[in-house]
Amino acid sequence: MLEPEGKVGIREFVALAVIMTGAKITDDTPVIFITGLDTAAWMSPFFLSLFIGLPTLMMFKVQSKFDTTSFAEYMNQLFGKVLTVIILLFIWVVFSYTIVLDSAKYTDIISTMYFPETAPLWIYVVLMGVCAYVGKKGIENIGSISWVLFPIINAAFLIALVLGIMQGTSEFLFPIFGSGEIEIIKESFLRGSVQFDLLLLFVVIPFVSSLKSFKKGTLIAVSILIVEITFAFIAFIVIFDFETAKLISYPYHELLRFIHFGSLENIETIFFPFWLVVPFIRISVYLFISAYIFGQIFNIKHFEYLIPIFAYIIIFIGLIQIILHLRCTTSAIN
Amino acid sequence: MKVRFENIVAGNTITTTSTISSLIKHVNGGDAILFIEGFQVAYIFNAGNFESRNIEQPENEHVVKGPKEAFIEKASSNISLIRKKIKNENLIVESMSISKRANNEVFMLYVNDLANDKLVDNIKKRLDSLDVDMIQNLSLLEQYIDERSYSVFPTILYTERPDRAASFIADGFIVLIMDNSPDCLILPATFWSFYHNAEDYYLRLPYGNFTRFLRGLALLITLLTSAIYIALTTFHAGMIPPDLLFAIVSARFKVPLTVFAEIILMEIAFELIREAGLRVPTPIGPTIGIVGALILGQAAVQANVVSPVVVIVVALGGLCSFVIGDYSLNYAFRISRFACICAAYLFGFYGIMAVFVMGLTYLSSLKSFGVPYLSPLTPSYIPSKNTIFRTILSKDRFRPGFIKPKDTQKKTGD
Repeated sequence: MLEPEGKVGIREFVALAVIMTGAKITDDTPVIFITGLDTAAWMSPFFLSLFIGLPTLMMFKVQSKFDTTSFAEYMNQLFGKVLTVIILLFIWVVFSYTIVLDSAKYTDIISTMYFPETAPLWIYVVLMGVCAYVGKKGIENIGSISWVLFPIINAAFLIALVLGIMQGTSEFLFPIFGSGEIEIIKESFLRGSVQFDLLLLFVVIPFVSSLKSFKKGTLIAVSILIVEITFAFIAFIVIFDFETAKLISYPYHELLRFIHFGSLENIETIFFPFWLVVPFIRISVYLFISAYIFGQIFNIKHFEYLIPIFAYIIIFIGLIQIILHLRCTTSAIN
Repeated sequence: MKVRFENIVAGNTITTTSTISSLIKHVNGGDAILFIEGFQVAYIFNAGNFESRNIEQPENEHVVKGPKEAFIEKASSNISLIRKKIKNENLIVESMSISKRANNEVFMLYVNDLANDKLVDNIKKRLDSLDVDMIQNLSLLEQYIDERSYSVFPTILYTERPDRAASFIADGFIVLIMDNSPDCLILPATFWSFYHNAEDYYLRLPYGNFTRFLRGLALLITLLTSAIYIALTTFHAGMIPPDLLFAIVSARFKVPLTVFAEIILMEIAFELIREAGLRVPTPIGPTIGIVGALILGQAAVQANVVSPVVVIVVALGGLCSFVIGDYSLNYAFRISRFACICAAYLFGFYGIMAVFVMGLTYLSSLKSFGVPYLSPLTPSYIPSKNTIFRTILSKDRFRPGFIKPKDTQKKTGD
């Protein structure tokens, strides 16, 4: 039998990292940046990557001091058994709650923007069902589909942004430094937490073909991300103006509604299927990582069997989130 | 001076044996046995000659440009067809008996200094472990050695073209040949081996890639047109340009059925006509089928049972499914299409994408004898160029890395 390595190659890893981290630009994260940075929001990815670079480099350094790639093992050596379990458990809880929030957010996007008449419950069930299936197949398969779909997703994303920029007003970009040069650096730094995902990638090192390709892959992924996110911010500001952009919950999807292609109006449904791959992949990876951390804490070898159970529980907690959120929005309207 | 028996008797092949069991095997195979008083051995004359038809043109895998001979039901002729293309002493033909009662023999062909030993051993082990009384032909053997019997997607390539088999053998793949099978099995197979076609290589690069592009397009159309039509009309009507929307609405005005019912009705009708056309015992069967489809569609439209747009959509999808040359892959896509249609009915584009992502994950998790199904696209192996499109032949220097051949370079031979 030709045993496949069961590892993620560098191409797949880059695709995975870009889709996972880049997904943020299509939800409500851009609003957080535009709120603090006004017209200069598009510069933040660059500064942000500088700030995120430091902990990343430190992680690389720590990683290289140990001959094992499993984070649980070197944490054991660093902190001792008890403390490791506590830290991991903390990471796991925070992380799992992120999945709940994110999946609820995606359900909200899909149901409010595209399927206003379908019950959010069913959208949520389908989302988590697909992600549980994909997640259970393991990270090498998620990497594979990311790589296969990566060019199409990115092409669709960039075409949408280009159309947005072409149809926007370029004067909206000025004043170019927004609320001030120092503000940009300060506010970017304060929003560093959104790049939490990138650090999470360190958890998946054991699944990447080699440490070298991990480092190289992270670098390539970050470079692609800086360009794409900068581009996206410019498109958002140019088309909405920063004051309006602050009020919009999901700028990317609003942008899709604004743009038109020649005589074709309402082309958001062309871009919607391509965007949909992003939440599927992101939540799948998250489920996988969550199960992996859980498996590391409690020494579960076949942790992938936990994924469907996690997905099931997440639906229930996430639904509360959606109901609360819906109540907030309806009370805001009334 | 002692005269050797073989030297004074003329015969095709004469072998000796001293065991009853091998004697029985040869008698069953139609050979003549000569016993001579006082001799310790019996002489076997290769006299068995089973009738079979002559070598003819391929029935299912036509090419315009390229060789036009196909395998027949006689294994020895099939092996000679391959030997005609690879005249090398390292081309091994191993035979083994795979059934206990009928003694069906399978021939395993591979190039000794190319094929991966582990792969050869694995396939031998798989064939040895079969415990059945009779396996008549390769179509049945394929199902016995398949790893995922319930899977919609095929994992063993089945071809009737000796030129295709020979080029796979030369790349380090393994080919199985049996009596009574006008075809061969090629293992391991990836998604791309089903997607490709012999003619892709015989045509010049732009033409070959153009056919491949068409095939890819046909694949997507087969899978998605009906589903997209349902999704657009049921969930995303706003996206359709107003003029087209009016055309669709006015066409649907008198139709009492829902879009989903219409599509399913027509899809099933199409599949039925197709199946009927296949089983009609005359060569004009397919013609009758198409005519039947046209008349049926026309009448259905005039009776306001279905709208003309649906006929176009279903006919387009059905027609495109014929572009997929491989019979198994054709089935796989036709079945998957129904999954897409149901998903589109329930959740529009969201449902289609859910099925699509799950299907893609499933494909990438499939393995054929340890080889990832979507390789070399992902995970990547050395020549990753020959997937959706191919490169110039002179640039195609490496054997596919995913089967781990002993010699990866195509040019140096020694």
